[in-house]
Amino acid sequence: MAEQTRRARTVMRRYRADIGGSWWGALVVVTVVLGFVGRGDGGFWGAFLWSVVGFVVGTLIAIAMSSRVVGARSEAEAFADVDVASGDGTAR
Amino acid sequence: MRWLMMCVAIVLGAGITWLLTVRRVTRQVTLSSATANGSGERPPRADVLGNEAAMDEAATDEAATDEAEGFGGATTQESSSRMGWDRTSQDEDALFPHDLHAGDRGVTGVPPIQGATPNGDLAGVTAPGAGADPSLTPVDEGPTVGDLGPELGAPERDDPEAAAGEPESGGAHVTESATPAANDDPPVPGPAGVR
Repeated sequence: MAEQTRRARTVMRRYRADIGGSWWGALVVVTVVLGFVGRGDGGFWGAFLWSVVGFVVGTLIAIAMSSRVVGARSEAEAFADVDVASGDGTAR
Repeated sequence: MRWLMMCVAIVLGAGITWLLTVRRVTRQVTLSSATANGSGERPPRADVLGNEAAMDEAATDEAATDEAEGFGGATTQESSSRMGWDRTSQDEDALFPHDLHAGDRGVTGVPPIQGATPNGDLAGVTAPGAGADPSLTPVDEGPTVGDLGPELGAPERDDPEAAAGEPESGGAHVTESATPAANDDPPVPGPAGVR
């Protein structure tokens, strides 16, 4: 008879998702705060606008890095190798 | 001051964007491995809990494997040589039973005939219309030539070598096609011998 052995382990995966509306909220909050903090020299609007530029640049950098580091675009795609493991017997 | 704020905005923008876009998900994976009678280890199977699609796929795969085993075993992997046929089947001799080539075993159930050619052919052994050769007496039990009819009067011989080497007058003689070596060879059964 066949003897069956079961082992359970936790697998963590990462995947990229859309930015959504939270990013816009974060943009407003961060730039407003930095505008008030840096309003000493050029006023609020000068600090606010440069903060917007910096925030957008940082966003673009993060998107570029995440696209290189994280390849999966969805949860199912992230666990595709684990699902395939049910056929070939390897879990990565 | 402005560049400092730019750097802070860049760091905050990158960090917040990373946190909003890159998401982590954790699953508990169950690896099951089966060993059948110690003959080998079946590759482990992963069932992802909480993923119904994956579990259904694994169940379908398992059902297909069980179905294949009902027909003689699971499908094996394709050979690396990609040979689409059995090399042995190209040999015509391999299609015959090995015992047929043995000759001396009498596997066909027909008693061997003395004086027959090594391949069991009796063509030319008897003259047409001369009836059965009385020397062609089966060695083993079974339907003998004498059983074909009492008028043939096939005498029973206890010494098959004498029967093969010294055919009696009146009966058909074994022709020269039967090589001398054939007399030394063990008799080969042939269905034509009893006809």
